[in-house]
Amino acid sequence: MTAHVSKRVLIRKRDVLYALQLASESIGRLNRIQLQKVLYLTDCTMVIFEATAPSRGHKTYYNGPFDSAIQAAVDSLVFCAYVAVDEVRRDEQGRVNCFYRLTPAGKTLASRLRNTDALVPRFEATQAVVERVSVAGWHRLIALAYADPTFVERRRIGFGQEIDVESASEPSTANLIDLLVRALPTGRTGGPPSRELMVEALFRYLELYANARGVLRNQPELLSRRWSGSE
Amino acid sequence: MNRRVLLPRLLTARLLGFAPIFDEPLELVFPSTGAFVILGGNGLGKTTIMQAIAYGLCGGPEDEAVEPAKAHRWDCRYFRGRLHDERGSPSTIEIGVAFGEHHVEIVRGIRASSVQRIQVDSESWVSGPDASIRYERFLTHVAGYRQPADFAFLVHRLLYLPESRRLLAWDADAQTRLVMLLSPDLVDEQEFRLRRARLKQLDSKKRHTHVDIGKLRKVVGRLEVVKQPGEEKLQPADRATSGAHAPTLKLEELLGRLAEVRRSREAADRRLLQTREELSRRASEVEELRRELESREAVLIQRALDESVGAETRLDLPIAALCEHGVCPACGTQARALQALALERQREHQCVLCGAEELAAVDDLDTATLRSQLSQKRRAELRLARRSRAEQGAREALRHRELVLDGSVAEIRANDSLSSSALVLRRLESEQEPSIGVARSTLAELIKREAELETQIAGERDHLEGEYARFRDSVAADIDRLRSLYGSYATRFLGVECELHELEGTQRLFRLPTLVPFFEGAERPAPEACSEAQRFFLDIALRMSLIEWASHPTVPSMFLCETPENALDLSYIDNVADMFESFANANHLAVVTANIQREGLAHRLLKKVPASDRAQRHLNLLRHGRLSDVHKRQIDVLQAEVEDMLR
Repeated sequence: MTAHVSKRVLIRKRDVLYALQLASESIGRLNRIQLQKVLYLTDCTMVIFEATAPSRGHKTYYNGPFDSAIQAAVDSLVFCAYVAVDEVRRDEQGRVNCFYRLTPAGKTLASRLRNTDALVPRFEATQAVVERVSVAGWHRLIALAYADPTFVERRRIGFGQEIDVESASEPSTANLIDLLVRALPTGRTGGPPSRELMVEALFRYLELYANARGVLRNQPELLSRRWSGSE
Repeated sequence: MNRRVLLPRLLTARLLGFAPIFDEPLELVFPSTGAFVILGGNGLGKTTIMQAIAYGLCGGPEDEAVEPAKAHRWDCRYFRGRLHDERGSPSTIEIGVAFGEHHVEIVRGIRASSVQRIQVDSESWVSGPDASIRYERFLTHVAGYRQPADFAFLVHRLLYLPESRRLLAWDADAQTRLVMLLSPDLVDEQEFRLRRARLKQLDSKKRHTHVDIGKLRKVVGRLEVVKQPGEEKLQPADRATSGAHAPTLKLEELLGRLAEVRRSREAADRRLLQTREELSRRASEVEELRRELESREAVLIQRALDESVGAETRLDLPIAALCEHGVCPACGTQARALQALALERQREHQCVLCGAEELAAVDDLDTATLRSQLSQKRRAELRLARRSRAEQGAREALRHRELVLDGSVAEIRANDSLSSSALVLRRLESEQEPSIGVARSTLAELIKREAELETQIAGERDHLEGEYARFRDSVAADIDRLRSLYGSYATRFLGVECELHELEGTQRLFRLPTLVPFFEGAERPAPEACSEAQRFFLDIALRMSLIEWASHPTVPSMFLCETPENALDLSYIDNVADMFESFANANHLAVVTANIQREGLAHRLLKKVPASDRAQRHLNLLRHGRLSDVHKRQIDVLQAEVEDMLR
């Protein structure tokens, strides 16, 4: 029986192209870990954009959340010359380090995807994430990804755990966003809070959690007081 | 598999102020997996080290919640009796331990069992009374234990096998408790245990009442022979029973409230079940839509990629070079056959290299509608999940009230029984001329009470049986895995096939099954059905399989085992070493104490690791402990033996 082209890898090709295109306007290029983290944070925000993150993608891994389909996608894009690789080298442990950026062909492909209506929400989500990370500083990227509540919960159990950021029945990013939607003021229209406000609130939470050292992380009531500004 | 607690894995241990056993501080660094052997002789401190490690991890098994048997309880006083705890150099135990990815450093003294200082991960150290609170919080909030006593029970009854050889095999209570506390999301082990204790209490009351009834029947029989005039008249002594009016009223009120709370709790159970079923349905719908949306997006992306290849074909694209010029993308050689294959695959809409087919086109690509449906369903799913959590909380609160009321009712009944019927019975027995009326009414009351107790016992037993059956069903697949693990370990030791059988309990009140070994065609329902060595090493096999069963594959744990070779003859040494090796291959740590003996277990365990690793995998107490005169006379022989093991 003939195998089909992997949907997961196809979807991640789009995600990689968006991330590299948007990052080129901010940090210029992304290394392997940064690429994983940008895509993870984008997956976390997809609920805000009424879109969906690829199911059962990321797992807990040594360097935080990791989705093998992302690496497969970027490798394939490199092979087809949509993405260029710089500074390939191995560290002492034999792990490959390198930087990725879009080639002119990759930029054209990213624009083509971005002009497809159905694929716009993911672009907007990636844009929001790249903007927020640029404001926080790219050196904070990993800490922000590590602060995501779904990852915190799954990492507790160990490596190789599936991370479902949209789970309704377990501690997850979707539940946190749901909480924010219900807590944030709706304004005069009475509708839900704006996407900008939601992304801002989510990243304020991630920043605060990432900055909260030690015991504070295990005292949600203290964290909540500090967050609301009462302490 | 259901959610499991995080088991600990020892990283380091440091014993300070342990004179007169060790004159200098003793530091141990354990390997991440495999065996670590503490080598010594009699009185050199092997057991002290193991006890100190267990104590450092969770304190001694000093209270009933951890150790039901008084004979096996011990605490910091044990160390105070063995060590010179001096103000200048207080005795302390420092333990470094991993729980999954978390690293915890614990310091305990021996003046009190509480934690003196603690550090969790990269947090700053916490000292004083807050240290114990911090550790408890870590155990319950991060490691997943319902309460710290569960962790202490796990350490003392599973992870640490002391020299006293308190068996886990054949102990149905301990086995059930372990399996339950290792699956904390399936059952409230503490509630189950307390209910079983209450069942025993009720049964004991019923038996006492039964004895009282027998005695009273004799009194009534005696009185009936000597009929008294005015027998039915209430005598002054009867006031002892009239005094029971107030508690009876209170009891009725409590029973009314209990029935009301029970009804509410049962209704809450039904609501929660419905909500969960609905939530599960909704989650499937969301997942289906999510997959559908994913498929459509993938088709769109593939289409964009195809169009891009058509528009951007350039000679430097390896695929284009292959299709147009027959250049191999890996080595650059002209490869016409490969080119032909690639072109054929291109025509068939397949990947030119691996032949994977493109995704089938989808007629309707209205993803906006699909996305809107998904959002609506996801919001509904989140609402349901919120409702489920709220209902769960309300159900727990009702359950708690029900248990409290249940306890109060049982207490009042017990006191009432003693203060009225038993009191009257005693008075009747002691009186010269007792009243037959009082005797008859008391007898009737006791018979009624016995029937009530019988009903209560039956209700309690039904509840327990239902609860246990539900739990047993939910872990059925897991128990099969445990059986398979046990079979592997036990067979390695015995050299013949050994299985783990579940034997129906023989207890009178509530039959709790026991996991027992089965080999050579026979179940071994009691320790007496095995030799001493079989008992001991099959117990080790059960512990190893439980540890492996309860550990996540990527989060290994440990086993602390004291001097297992004492019960072993030479012919089985290799089998036991194989059993430990198998445990090590599952990435667990085994800390084993052993006497220095030629061709003993320590020898075999050390020989299984490369010679270069052996120095890091043992502690030679000839260098650290205080040698007796007997040891001193044999020191050269002992030292040569150790060197032989390390060579």
